[in-house]
Amino acid sequence: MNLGRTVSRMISLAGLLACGWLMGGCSSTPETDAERQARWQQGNLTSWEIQHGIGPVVEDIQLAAVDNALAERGKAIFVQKCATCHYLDMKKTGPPLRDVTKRRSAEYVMNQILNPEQMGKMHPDGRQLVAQYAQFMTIQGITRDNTLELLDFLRSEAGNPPAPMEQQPGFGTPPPPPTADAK
Amino acid sequence: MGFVVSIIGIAALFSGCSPKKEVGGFGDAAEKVYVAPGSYDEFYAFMSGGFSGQVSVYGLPSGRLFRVIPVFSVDPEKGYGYSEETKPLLMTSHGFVPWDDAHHPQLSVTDGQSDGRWLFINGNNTPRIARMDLTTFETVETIEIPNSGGNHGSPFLTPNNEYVVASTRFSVPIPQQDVSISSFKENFKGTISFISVDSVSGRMKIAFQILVPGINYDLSRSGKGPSHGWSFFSSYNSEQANTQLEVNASKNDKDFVAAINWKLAEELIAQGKGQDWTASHYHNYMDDADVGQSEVLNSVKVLVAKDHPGLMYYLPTPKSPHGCDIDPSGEYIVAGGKLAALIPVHSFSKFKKAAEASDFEGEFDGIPIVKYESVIAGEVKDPGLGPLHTEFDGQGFGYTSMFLSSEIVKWKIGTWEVVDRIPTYYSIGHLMIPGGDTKQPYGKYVVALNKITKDRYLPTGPELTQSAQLIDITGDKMKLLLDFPTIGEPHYAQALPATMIKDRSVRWYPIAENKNPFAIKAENESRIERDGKTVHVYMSTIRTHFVPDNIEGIKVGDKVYFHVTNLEQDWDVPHGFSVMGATTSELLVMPGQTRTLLWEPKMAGVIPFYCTDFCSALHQEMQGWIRVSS
Repeated sequence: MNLGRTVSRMISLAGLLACGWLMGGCSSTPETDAERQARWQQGNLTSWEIQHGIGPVVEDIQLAAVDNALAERGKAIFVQKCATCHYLDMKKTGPPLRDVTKRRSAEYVMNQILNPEQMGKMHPDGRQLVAQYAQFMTIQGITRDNTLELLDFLRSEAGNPPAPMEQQPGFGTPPPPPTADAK
Repeated sequence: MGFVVSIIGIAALFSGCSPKKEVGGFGDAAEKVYVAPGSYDEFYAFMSGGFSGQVSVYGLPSGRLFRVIPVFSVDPEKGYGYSEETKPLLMTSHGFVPWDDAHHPQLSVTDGQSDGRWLFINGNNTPRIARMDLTTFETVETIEIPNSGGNHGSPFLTPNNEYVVASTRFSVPIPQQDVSISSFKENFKGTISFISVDSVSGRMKIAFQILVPGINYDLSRSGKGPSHGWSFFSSYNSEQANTQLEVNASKNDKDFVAAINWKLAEELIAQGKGQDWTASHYHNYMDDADVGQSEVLNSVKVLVAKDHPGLMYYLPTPKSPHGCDIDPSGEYIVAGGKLAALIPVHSFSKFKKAAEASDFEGEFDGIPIVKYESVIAGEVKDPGLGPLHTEFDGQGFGYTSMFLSSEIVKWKIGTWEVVDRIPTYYSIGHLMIPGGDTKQPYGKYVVALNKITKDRYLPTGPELTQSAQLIDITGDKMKLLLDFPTIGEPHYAQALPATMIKDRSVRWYPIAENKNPFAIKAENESRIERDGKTVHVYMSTIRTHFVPDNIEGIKVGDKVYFHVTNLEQDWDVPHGFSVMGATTSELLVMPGQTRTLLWEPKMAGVIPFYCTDFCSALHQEMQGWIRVSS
């Protein structure tokens, strides 16, 4: 993770115990989608998963202070890949995101981006959002490093007052269409 | 399973069951073709769509249809031939030709084995060859073949894709001219084309053509192993008849297999012996930006066969031969004499010796005819009626389709004895063994490709589907496992292990790498630009909206180009785009791709547009309006 920042990864003790209990001996083999699905059907989401989401991020993420360079990269990704469905301050195809980093942990945001389908099917909050928006979040080929950039962008926006619509990242009403008398 | 089998057995005992139901016997057939949900087939099979002009892709052994790849015919399901990006692929010197008759799919090869990179197929009617990319299952190139009267005998590859080989079915005046048809013998000629294939890009180019005597050239295979450097073509109508061919082209006891030394042809071209002939033809390809381009080429290099000793020989072959197949060793050349009562097998080593010793029985229009007795390795006697095509199992056996007696006959290479036979329904044309034309066939199955299916399925009016039959060839006795309907005529097919393609399959196009000049990389780049009477709409799609979705200012008489970019980066999420009253088709845009629809509004009003490919619960909401002013 050569992002020039400190991201420490720790397997939490609770996670370790849960892992051992659920999988019968904590093998190093990653859980398959089918295994996870089966576990979910038995109502066996861990409290860590409830809090931090279901997906490839299974360890605690510690974020340093917002890095402006990273936030800029995050903004570019947001404009290209997220702004199709998200404004910061109002509903679009998906929910507004200005304060998402205040509402959700970094791990949760990362899992939502990296694993939207299982989040939408298996996480209680994810299911609620899918029901509300009648839409699963799309997979947009965003890498794990990209999610850290997006987190810095979103953290830099969190708590700012709502911006006028035309200043929303990625918001761009197309220029006015040519009128009937345009040449 | 056992219970079902016993029911069938009991029914057979008591009812006398129609013999048709017993063909091949069923036994454990269901188990052998059952591919459980979520499991994959072992082989991809690529079947020609015949007069549909397309290629269909099936799984073996299940017989499940996976996809139809549009090639020579427009395909509204995929917008192929309707979008501005794909229209150029159907351009020819005759104009835009949105149909053809596609016969012989041919998988690319390295060292005589399938390499899983490309699939080629011929356009029979307006002579063309197409190349499909097997990472995307899309047609990426077509090339027109000039100086040809019908491109049946193609595309047959040399062992390392050096050339796609194509022969003209109908001899015609070359170059074309206004002459009496009865002057066939004086004025009509054939050509055999060698189209080079770039080893990296796959890009095709007509390297040279060989002008050959005016008869009908039919099927071909290229040599391998000892016969590498040669190509062989069955031919008929050595009578050079031009009317009532069913009588007049069947008079001679023997026609020919034509042998062409393409290595020598290469040398002659390098020595500057090729003549530059004017021959306008189109070369169409998808460029680096995934946009179709057409270029018109105006000449070809031509070698006149009779002027170059050693370039071409005729091998006498009974009678009106159709198929021409080479065994895995490269030694035996098997012709299917469709009117013959035997299957003639020539020996390459005997042919070479005879050619070197000038052991000829005459010549035909300047081409030496090698003595039959000097080249024949053996004859498979009384194999059945109407032998057509032969494929090989790699275990020392040939399998020949019998058109008239509707059966497949298995015979032993070397002893030429028939060892097994199985009925097919009805009028089998080609047959296919996975890898059956390569140096090391995969064997396991033979697929019968049938023309007629009377009585076989529920009737569908006067026209019935064509069909394929899957037959197990792992034991001594062939065993029918399955039959299934096909799209168009499954004229010929090729198959290879699924693992050669599956893991290289493209899932989406990275949006950042989209080089289409009209692409947009993010929703906020969507816009509308007017240039005189031309309007360009740069439109994005994602689940579940278009941007823009309200378009005003369009006028009657405008040419409106909708450049639709699909911003999705997820597998299997294409979006469609269709406009009410558009005279073309929808667009179907793959994730990360840009496709363009041209629309010319004819009346004022407000016209809706919408997405045709179901994408989500809000798919119905994926729509918009265009205001058209007079």
